[in-house]
Amino acid sequence: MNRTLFALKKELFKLAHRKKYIVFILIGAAVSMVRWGGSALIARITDGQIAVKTNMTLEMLPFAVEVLVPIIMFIAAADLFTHEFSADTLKMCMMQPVSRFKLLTAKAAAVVITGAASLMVMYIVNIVIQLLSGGSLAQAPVTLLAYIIDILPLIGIAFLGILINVCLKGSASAMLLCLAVYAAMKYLGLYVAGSESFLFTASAKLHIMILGQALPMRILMYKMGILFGSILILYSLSYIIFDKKNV
Amino acid sequence: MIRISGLTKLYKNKRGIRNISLTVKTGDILGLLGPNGSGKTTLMKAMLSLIREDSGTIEVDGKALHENFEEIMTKTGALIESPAIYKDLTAYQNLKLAARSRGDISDIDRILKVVHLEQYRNDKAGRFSLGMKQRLGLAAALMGSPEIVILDEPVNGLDIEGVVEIREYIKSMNEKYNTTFVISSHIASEIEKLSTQTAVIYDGELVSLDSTQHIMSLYPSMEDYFLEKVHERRGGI
Repeated sequence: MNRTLFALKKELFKLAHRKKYIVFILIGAAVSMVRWGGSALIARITDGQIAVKTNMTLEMLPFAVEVLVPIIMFIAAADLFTHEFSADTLKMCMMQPVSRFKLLTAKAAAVVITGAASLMVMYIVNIVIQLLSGGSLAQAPVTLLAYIIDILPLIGIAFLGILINVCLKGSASAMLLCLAVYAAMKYLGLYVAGSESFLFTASAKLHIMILGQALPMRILMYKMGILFGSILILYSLSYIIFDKKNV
Repeated sequence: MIRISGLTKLYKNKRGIRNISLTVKTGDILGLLGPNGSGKTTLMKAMLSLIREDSGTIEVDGKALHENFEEIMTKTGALIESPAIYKDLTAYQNLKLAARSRGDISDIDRILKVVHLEQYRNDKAGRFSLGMKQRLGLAAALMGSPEIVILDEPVNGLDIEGVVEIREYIKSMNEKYNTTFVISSHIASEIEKLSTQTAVIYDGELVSLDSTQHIMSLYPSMEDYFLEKVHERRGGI
């Protein structure tokens, strides 16, 4: 456990020194600002006839969970796997006294933590914008709970990115494939009706199932089963390939 | 003691190493001599579990490498091919990432002095010259005075002064801590000056293994020994 934590600390250290994650958070903040600005503009144009007073932090959650954070996690996965492979630094990781299983776990944990931290930063950014725009913070605790619940499906998306990255050697191709596969899974239902519910990506807005709707426990368990089963499969496949990797 | 038995690793192009068996005693400096592409790096990578062998075994102090990987790697430092360096991090940060244990981190400043990089401690490694990168890679391998050190072409890119300094440091570490070294080179004179045992690898096979002292008592130079062994091998094909 100590060795895994030591390795995790190193992986987080590497990611913390990359400025691009801050850029993506700023993009997320800009989107939130545009949304708030748009609402304020509509209110002004219609002289207050159409005033959009909603829980903006909660409304920005799908954007964060389905678009922004998956992209950040795919980049983190590329940074820790394919980029390290092409930059020849993966051998330094593999020469550490940490088994490949522990190394994969540390790298995967670093990707998930990066995604979760980005989501939490987005929560704070949106809360601040909501506060500055005169919105109410009455729903802030429940909204925070929604953000925390939505970290769970992000674990599945992180492992999807990790699996693709352990299979490929180039970070650009891995990133493109991650986005293509994620988009295909996310919008599979557009082509094959109902099919997306068999995939873990259907649980992306998990907070709606848990907080918003009174779903029967059986259906909720079914959804959670697909999610955690998918994570287990993606983790196992990633390990099998990573363990055989020659560097 | 490192014991390698029947080690074979062939890549898709059928190059690699075939049925290599050798033993490196504790405190020995084994020099691996061979032309480019002969399999020296493949052998070293297998000794570090960076590649998965097709067959054969590697044991360190009687313990199988794969089953005792963490324990063995705790006492093993290595530099393989070009140094693994994070260009956007400083020399100190790079060594922090290369540390095998928390104890190694306290050794960083000492080892930076050994490789004469102490004044570049907080400079980004991406701006380093080839020689400086090589020194940083060597620092990562030698940090914490590991019991076993595996160095692939360690003096690559170093100036004459650097070559002599590193050679002297390897010798002093070997004498002081009884460190076992496995060092590869395609420069015969370098192996002659450093090693206690010399192995010649050619076309993925171990052609000969003998004590350097014995070799030097029979041949005028390591170069002559190497050329004879290679010609013998070629003649046998």
